[in-house]
Amino acid sequence: MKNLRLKSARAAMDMSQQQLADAVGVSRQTINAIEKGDYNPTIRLCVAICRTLGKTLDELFWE
Amino acid sequence: MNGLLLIAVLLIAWLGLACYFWQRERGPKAAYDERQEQARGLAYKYGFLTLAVCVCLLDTVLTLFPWIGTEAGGFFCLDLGVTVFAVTAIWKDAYLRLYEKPWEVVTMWGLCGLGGLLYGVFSLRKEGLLVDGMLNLSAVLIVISGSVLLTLAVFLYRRRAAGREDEEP
Repeated sequence: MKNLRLKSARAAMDMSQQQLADAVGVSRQTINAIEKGDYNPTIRLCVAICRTLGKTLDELFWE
Repeated sequence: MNGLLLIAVLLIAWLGLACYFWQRERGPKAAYDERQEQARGLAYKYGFLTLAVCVCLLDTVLTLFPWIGTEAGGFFCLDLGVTVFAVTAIWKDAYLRLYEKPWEVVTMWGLCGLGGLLYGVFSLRKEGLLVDGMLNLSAVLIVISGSVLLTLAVFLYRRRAAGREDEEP
């Protein structure tokens, strides 16, 4: 399932996928895969993304 | 071992050592991320399974085509296994490290593939396809170089496809 909340949060911060990827230390393709729902990140990566975007885990990843 | 072959072996060894120390210097920046590690694990599995199946079938193939020879057959099996690994890793965007530049890979593969292909062709023209009734190892080099160039083609195709992916800023 696509993660549209992550995509909107990223867009709200005016960040590209590459910028978010660089900030959390992963490849752009990984961020793209998470947003498309093709990859389930580990909790560590989820936390890193939440910290970068200033959101909670519930806001971005809870279904 | 003739002089040219010795130089080639020394050059490859030097390149290998240079790559090793260069990557070591890069430290954590040379790592793969978690998704890539997972994808590479899958690629290793497919590559190993391909190699295992090829080795199992090698005896049958050599019985049908004894002129191939065990050495060449072994190299073909290895080549197929490595190619399957590389293509799988590339397809899943797990071949390049996080901060690895694509041009480095393209240059290396291009040089290796073309160099091997040229050397193989010249060697085949000089010695012929069969040597003492067995396949000339230069034919193996041509096949391996062809695999390298095929892998490069897949890499370039994926890079192009990734560039066309719908990505909003």
